[in-house]
Formats: sequence, structure tokens, C-alpha cells
Amino acid sequence: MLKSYAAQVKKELLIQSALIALDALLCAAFYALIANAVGNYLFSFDYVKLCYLLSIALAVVAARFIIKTLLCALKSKLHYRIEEAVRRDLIVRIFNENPLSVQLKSSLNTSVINAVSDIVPYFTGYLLSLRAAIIIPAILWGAILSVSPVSAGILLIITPLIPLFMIFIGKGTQKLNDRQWAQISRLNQRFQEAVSQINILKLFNLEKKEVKNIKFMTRRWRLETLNILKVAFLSALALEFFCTVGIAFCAITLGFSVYEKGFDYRYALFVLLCAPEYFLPLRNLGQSYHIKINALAAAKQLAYWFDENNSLEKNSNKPLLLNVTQAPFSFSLNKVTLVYLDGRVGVNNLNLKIKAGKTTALIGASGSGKSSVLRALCGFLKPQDGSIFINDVSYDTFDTKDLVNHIAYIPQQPKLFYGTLFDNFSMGRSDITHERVIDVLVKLNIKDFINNFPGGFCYILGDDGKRVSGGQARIISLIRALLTDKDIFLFDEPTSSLDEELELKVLDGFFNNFPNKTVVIAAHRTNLIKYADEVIAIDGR
Amino acid sequence: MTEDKLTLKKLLSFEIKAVILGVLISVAAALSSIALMGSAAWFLSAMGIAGASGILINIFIPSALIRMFALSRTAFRYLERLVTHNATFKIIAALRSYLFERILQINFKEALNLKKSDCERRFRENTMRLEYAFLKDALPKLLALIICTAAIVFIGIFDCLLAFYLFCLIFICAVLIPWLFTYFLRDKTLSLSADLSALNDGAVKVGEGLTDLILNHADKKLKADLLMLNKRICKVRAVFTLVEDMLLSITYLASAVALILSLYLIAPYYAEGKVNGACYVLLGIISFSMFEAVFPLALSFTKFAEVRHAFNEINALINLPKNQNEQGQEFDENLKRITFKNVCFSYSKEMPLIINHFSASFVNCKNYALCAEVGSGKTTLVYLMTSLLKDYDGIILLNGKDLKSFSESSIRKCFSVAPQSNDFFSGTILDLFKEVNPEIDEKTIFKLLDEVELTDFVKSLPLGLNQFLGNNGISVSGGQSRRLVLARALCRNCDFLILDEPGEGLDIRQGQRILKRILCSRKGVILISHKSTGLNFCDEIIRI
Repeated sequence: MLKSYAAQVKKELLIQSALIALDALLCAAFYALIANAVGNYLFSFDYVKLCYLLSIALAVVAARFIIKTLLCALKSKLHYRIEEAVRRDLIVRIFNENPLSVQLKSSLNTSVINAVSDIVPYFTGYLLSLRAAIIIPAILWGAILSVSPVSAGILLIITPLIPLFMIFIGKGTQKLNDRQWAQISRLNQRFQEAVSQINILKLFNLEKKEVKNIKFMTRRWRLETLNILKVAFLSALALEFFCTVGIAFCAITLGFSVYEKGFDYRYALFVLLCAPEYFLPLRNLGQSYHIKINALAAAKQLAYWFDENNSLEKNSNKPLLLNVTQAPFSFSLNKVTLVYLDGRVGVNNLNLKIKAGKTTALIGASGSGKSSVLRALCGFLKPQDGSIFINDVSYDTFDTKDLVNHIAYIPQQPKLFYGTLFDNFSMGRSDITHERVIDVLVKLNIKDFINNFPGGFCYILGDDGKRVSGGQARIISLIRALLTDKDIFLFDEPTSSLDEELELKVLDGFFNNFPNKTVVIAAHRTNLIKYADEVIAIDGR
Repeated sequence: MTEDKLTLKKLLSFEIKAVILGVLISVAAALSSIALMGSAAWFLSAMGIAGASGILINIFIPSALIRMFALSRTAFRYLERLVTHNATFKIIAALRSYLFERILQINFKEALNLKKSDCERRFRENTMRLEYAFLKDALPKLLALIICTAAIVFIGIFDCLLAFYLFCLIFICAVLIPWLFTYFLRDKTLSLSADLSALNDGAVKVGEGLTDLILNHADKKLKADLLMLNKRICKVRAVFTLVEDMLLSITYLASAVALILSLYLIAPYYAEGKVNGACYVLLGIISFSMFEAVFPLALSFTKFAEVRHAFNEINALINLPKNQNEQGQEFDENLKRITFKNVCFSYSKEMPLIINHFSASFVNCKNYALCAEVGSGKTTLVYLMTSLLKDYDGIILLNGKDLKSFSESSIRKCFSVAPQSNDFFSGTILDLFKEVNPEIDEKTIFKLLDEVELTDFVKSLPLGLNQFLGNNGISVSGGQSRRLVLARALCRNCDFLILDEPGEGLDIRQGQRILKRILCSRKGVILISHKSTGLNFCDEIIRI
């Protein structure tokens, strides 16, 4: 997955590499000028020449600054492009997902922000360090070689030792298996859990014990994490050791050769100045290695969404429903077997006919497949075997995604959203007004429904609609659907709570004032039969 | 009431010894680094001059010094990492204890608000930001301050003008420019966190209600909104990245200018013989190397705004109204009767009374069912009975005496509650029960598991009762966790057992069976439900 995005920004990455190389050359030039200036001045006391060389050095610094600024701008642009592209693709993909898919529930919200944020530094941080660690030392080494083959030789010997030792020690850390990481993670999470379960702590008088517990568990977490980090730090230690030893070694040998062999001081100073600059990209790479690990983990988290095989087939070239048939709508299921994405069987080999413009009641025990039939009618659940027809037109011949534009589905637990009551009716549409809502309420026999809520239309529903009862939620859901002028209504187990009287009143109003709709009611209570023109018993197994 | 304020100073003072040790070792590491380069340059230059003029000098001591600095830098760097991380973790521990104790004291009414999704998430994120405030924010700044001061003072001994210029350069890239950036970007920082919250909420909406969104034609608009939010967020983040990198470039520029200035300004001193050649080069190298300590400041730039924001948020949360700490006498008898007389309660003045003149009586030799719709106050009654909420009107009597005269913990001993949510602490199943009843034995636990039909589940686990459940352990389904929570409530033998929506998430028939077992073998059970499951096993049904 990461590779595909890297391919998208290939041009930017190449420009970056070129700029890094240019910067490295200028770096060498800068140090050469400094070494020259200092060397000359120390022995010739030529102040004018010093100033002259220093001003050229200043110009080189300015040039380097400009290049670095260009690199900054490029990195920023890269950051924007990658983050925007990855998250955009993720969002589009999510909306394409089958609504019944279980993948939607599992920590999607954190992935959208955090996982994507972890992926971006791979491109802006890790890849950059990687290329810098190759380009810069290479160029500087070449420069050093040209003045002091001995120093170049020293560097050549030391440099490969660095990754060798780091990998060697890194393997030691990897021995820590998943179980130990899980253990540490658990200890770390105790605090968060405690904060979210304060009512339980109070109810069971566990407060004092928990304070001690948190102290204890955090202390253990600290000790265990440090133990692991000690090993990780050793790997950094190896890196640091060889870098510093390299510099020190170079300095001492250069000093001796200057003193005893009359090696040109300016060359020696040049090498000494370049040496830390040579090792710096390698040190940076070592530190950015964990960026790569995080990015890979994040990519794994998002793997499902970016897997080509998992995306829904594009039905966009199939015709819309109204292009193949018109209202009133009848349905028939022909030897249909419905299986959910997790393998659970909904119905097996079912034959069913639902007449147009009439009300059909599906009755059966809990779990007999009524909800599955409703979901299949909406197009959310595709039959594994058999076919579904609407007005004798097969579901395969048109874009089933268009079905939701014509079907109102009121589930047993409708999802209401945080916002005002009116927001939940209008769902953001601009053509819904208070008057239209009240009109629907009157037709449903519940003119005063809004008065049950303090503040009326402005009453705020909590997360998950927690501030309304189950029956009230279903009524809101029905009103919402009636505001969208649909022809097909599917009710999934209405009136299973204590609001029965109210719901029956509403259903009376619905059937009296909204005629000629194809209605399917799935219920396990038989008192709804009076509304039905036809009753079908379902036993999906 | 004095306000509890958490500040950076207070945070660091939690573990002041560890902090000071960390700072000292970091300083030692940084100084070693500068000393390494400085001594190397000094050595080289001394050799160069000596070689040119044919003077004999002692080469072993300087070369030994270089080796020493090389080793000390490596060693100190390793120690620095170890000690600073240790200090950070100690601070994390102290911070968590501090915050937890404060949160326990918050008035329960306010704590219920904390639980609402946004507050809790913000609390978590801000705590995490504070936890690294030392390592990523305070430490680099302290280090830069100490090192640069030392270096500038050292150079000031030789030339005050150079010292002054260096001071200006450091001031510009470590203080002035970051401050300017923070100032001009402060709106963006706020808008970024607002946008991130909105994006998070949008993702939650999709994750939990895509079906309804699609059915109500709201999905396209939400998608467009999220995509637009994404663009805005990415733009702001790109700007922050740019600023951070620009700071690094500017610091580089300053360091190079410092080197050139040093060589330029000290040159006359060398010509006049006031400093020797090696020293001349040394001063140049020191001017250049001191910026090593300034570079990390650029990276902590964005952290600084976040840390300040985190302090404000945390302080707002822990300064919510506290519980009045009235002691009250111990309630040490068996609770036989609870009486509500005209009890009224509302969560705030703006909200209507959620408990409206409620009167009822509960005795512990009968089983009760409290029926009402969602939101009509059933759980609130539980909180009132167990003295979690105390500012009600009316009277609640325990065995005929006023509830308010007793201490909270002694009242709660009389109740065992299975709350509506399925939360339990991650841990082994054995832990789950032992937390609540330390004297329980395995035989009893299995009896309880039988009662809630979890025996098969537990037997199927590889470690049985010692299996770790929850975060980073085996995950359990909604129905299984509901039953665990029920079993946990059952394992304490209290005067009253309160079950809040016990059948929620359970198959109807299973719920019936379990409730039948519980209700037929115990008395003093108060069943709270909006469904009709299990009502027929109760002696009395009270409707709210």
C-alpha cells in the first residue's frame, strides 16, 4: 500500500534527492572555504584574504539556506499530498462499504485520524532520512577521499560496522514477543479504564484500592518498559559509539600526520569539519527507524480498506430503478438463501411474494429470518442463492444502490444522531420545514408529539439518541422516512417495548393517511395482523 | 474553595530529583559533545602550528582528552536516554495518581458528564500530551538555556562583542521566531483541534450508522463534509510541518553565521597575539557547536502549543465542582427497608425534574421491578439509593433513618449493582470476582457462572478462570460481557441487589432463563427494565 503512494509522488521524491545532493556539495564547499580561510590566516595572517574567503562562505551559506527552504516547501507539499490522498481515499472507500459490514464498527474513527497520521511520516521522515543517509555521506566521502585517502579509509571501515551492530542488537529487542508487549500495554491502560469506570469503583467501594492499584501498575509498567528500552538504547549506543569513535580517530590521525608528516593543515581541518556532518544522516536514520515501524503497523490497520479485492463492485453502469420499472412495487423472492458476511445464515431457500400497494405481515419467532428478508429487499444483503425480483425485474438488472432512494426502512433500533430533533427529521436537507413535519404528525394522529420534548424541535438528542425512548425513536424514524416521499415501507419489529399504545395509534394514522404504499411488517407479535392484507409465516431455516 | 492548578512547574515537582538528575546528565552529554569537537579542532590546530614552527609539544594529553570526550559523550548519551525516560515515566505515574485522586473527588453529577464521549477522549489525549511535556518540551528548552549560556559566557571572556552577537542569534532562532510563529498560528492550532474532533465524530457516525445515513440520503453530504474537513486539516498540518522545518533551516543559518562571525571577530586577537591559533579555532568551533542544543527546540515547537492547551483543558476538568466531604455515621445494620418519600431530582436547573415526586418502599424480603421508559430516571434512582447523587428534594429513609446522615461508603456496602453498561476492568476472570469479593472461592464462582450461563464459555478458554479478558486479552461479545457484569454483581451477598437493564443485549429467552434463576433464588432484588422480560418473577412492580 505504501509503495503505491510512493509511486504517486515519484517526481517530488526525485527533486528532493537532487536538492539533497546539491546541498551536500555546497556543504563540502562551505567547509572547504572555512578550512581554507582558517588555514591561510593561521599561517599568513592575511586578514584581507580571510575576509574574502569568509564572505564567499557566507554566500554559500545563503545558497544552502535557499536550498533548505526549497526542501522545506517540498516536504510540506509532500506532507499535504500524501495525507490528503490517503485520508481521502479512505473516506471514499468507507462510504462505499456495505452498511452491514462489521469492519465499519471496529475502531474506524481512530484509524481515520491516527493511522493516516502515522503513515505520513514514512514519506516525509523515513524516506527522506533514508535517501539523505545514502546521498550525503557518499558525496562527503568523495570529498574527503580527494584530500585524505587515509581518513576516507578509516571512515570506510567504520561505517559498515554501524548497521551491523544495530541490527545485531535490534534482534535482541525483537526477541521480546507479543505477549510481553501486551503485558506492558495492559499495565499502561489501567489508568484509562479506571477513569472511565468511576461509577463502578464508587458503587463497590473500590476507590482507595484503585488508587493503590494505579500506582502499583504504573510502577510495574515503568520498570518493564525501561527494561525493554535499555536494549533499544543499546542499539543507539552502538550507533553513537562508532560515530564518535570515527570522529575521534580521524582527529587524532590527522593531528599526527599534520605534526609529523607535514600534512596540509587545511585539508586536515576540512576533513575534521566534514566528519560529524558525515555521520549525522546515519544517526538520523537510526532514530527514524521507528517511524517506519509505526507506518507499517498503521498500513496493516488500514489494509482491509485499501485492499483492491474488498471494494464493492461498481454498479454505476447499471440503470436506476425507475428506468426499469415504476411504482407500485411488488416483490418476490425465488429460492433465496441469505448469508451474512460473518457466515451466519439468514434464510435458506425461501420463496416469498409481496403484493404491490398492499400491506404484508411477516411473522415468525425471533431469529427466523424476517430482518434478513427486509435487508435483502433493501439491497444490503445479496442472496447467495436464488434471486429477488421487484415488479418481476431481477435485482441483477439494475443498480441496487438506487433502492434506498425508494425504500423506507425502519429498523428495530433506528440510529438517531446527536443534534436537535429537527436535525434528525431533516437530516440536513434544506427542503424540510417545520410545517412539513407538523403536517406529517397530524396525519399520524400525533399532533402533540413534539410537545413531549422540552424545547420542541430544538430538543437535543444525545449520542445514540439516548434521550428518547425506543418507541419515540421509531416514531421519529418513521416521520423522517415519510418526509422523503417513499413508496415502500419496511417495518422491522415495531412495538416491542412499553410504548405499544402510542405506536399503534401512529400505525393507525399511517395506514389511514398514506395509502397505496407497499408495506412489509416483520413482527413476532400477532396483534399487528389487523393492518395486514396478507400474512406470511416465515421460518427461514 | 481553592483551585487546584496543574502547571509545568508542579508537574516537574512531582519527581524533582529525577528531573534534576535528567537535566544534569543531559547537560553533561551536550557539553561532552561540544568538548569533543572543540578539543579535536584545538588539537589539530595546535599540531598544525607546532608542526609548522617545529615546536615540540605534548601530544598524548590532548589526544587522550579527545578519546575521553568521545567515550564520555557516548556514555552520557546512553545514560541521558535512560535517566530522562525514567524521569518521564515517574512523572507519568505521579501525574496519573494526582489526576485520578482529583477525579474521584469530583461531584458525581459532573462525573457523569465527563463520561460523555467527548470529554473522556479529550481527557485521555491531553493526559498523554502532558506526560511527555518534560521529555519533549521542558528538557530541550532547559538544556538549550544552560548550554548556550555557558558557551556565551565562555566566549564572553575573550570577546564581548562576539558574545553579544551570539546571544542575538540564539535569541532570534530560539525565542523570537518561534514566538512569532506561535502567535500568528494560534488560530490555526485551535481550528485544527476543532476540525479533528469533527472528523472523529463524522467517522463515528459512519461507523455506527451508515445504514441510516444511506436510507435518509444524508450520506453524500456527510462524505462531502468529511472530505472538506480533510483538506483543511491537511493544509494546517502541512503549514506546521513547514514552520518546523523552516525553524531548523533558520537555526542552521544562524549556526553558520555564528561560525563566520567568530572567525571574523576573533581574527584581530590572534593577529595581536592575545589568543593562540588553537584557541582561535576552538572559539569558532564552540560558536558553531552550541547550536546543537538549539536544533531540538524547532522540533518541540508544535508540542509547546499543544502542551499549553493540554494544561488548560486538564485544569478545567479537574476543577469541576467537588463532592462535599461530609463524613456521616456508619450504617452498620442490615438494610431491611428503603423508603422514598416525595423525592424530586433534576440534573440541572435548566432540565426538567427527572424524578418527580417519587414515593415507594422497598423491603429486602421481596423482589421488585422498576419499569419505565428510557430516560425516565430509573438509573437515577439507583444513584440516589446508593448515595452517589445527594442533592435531591424529599426524603429517602434507610431502615427509617435519613440516608443523608450516613457515610457514603457504608451505605454502598448494602448494595450490589449490575450497571447498565458492560464495562469491567481488563484482567483475569478470577480478578473480576476477587476485586469485588476478595474471599470468594472457585466453587462459588463456577456456581455463579452456571447461573448466568457462562460456564461453557469459561471452560472453552485455554486458561479458564485465569484467562485475561478485555484490552490486549481475549475480547468478549456484548452478551458475554453483560453476563459477566451480572455475575460480578451476584458474587457479593448484599442486602439489595440492583440489576439495571440486565437483559440488554441478551437473547430474549436466555434473558428470561437467567432472570428466573436469579429472582427465584434471591430476595431483595430490584430489577430495572423497560422491557417486560422477567417482570412476572417479581413480587411487586413499580412504574415510574
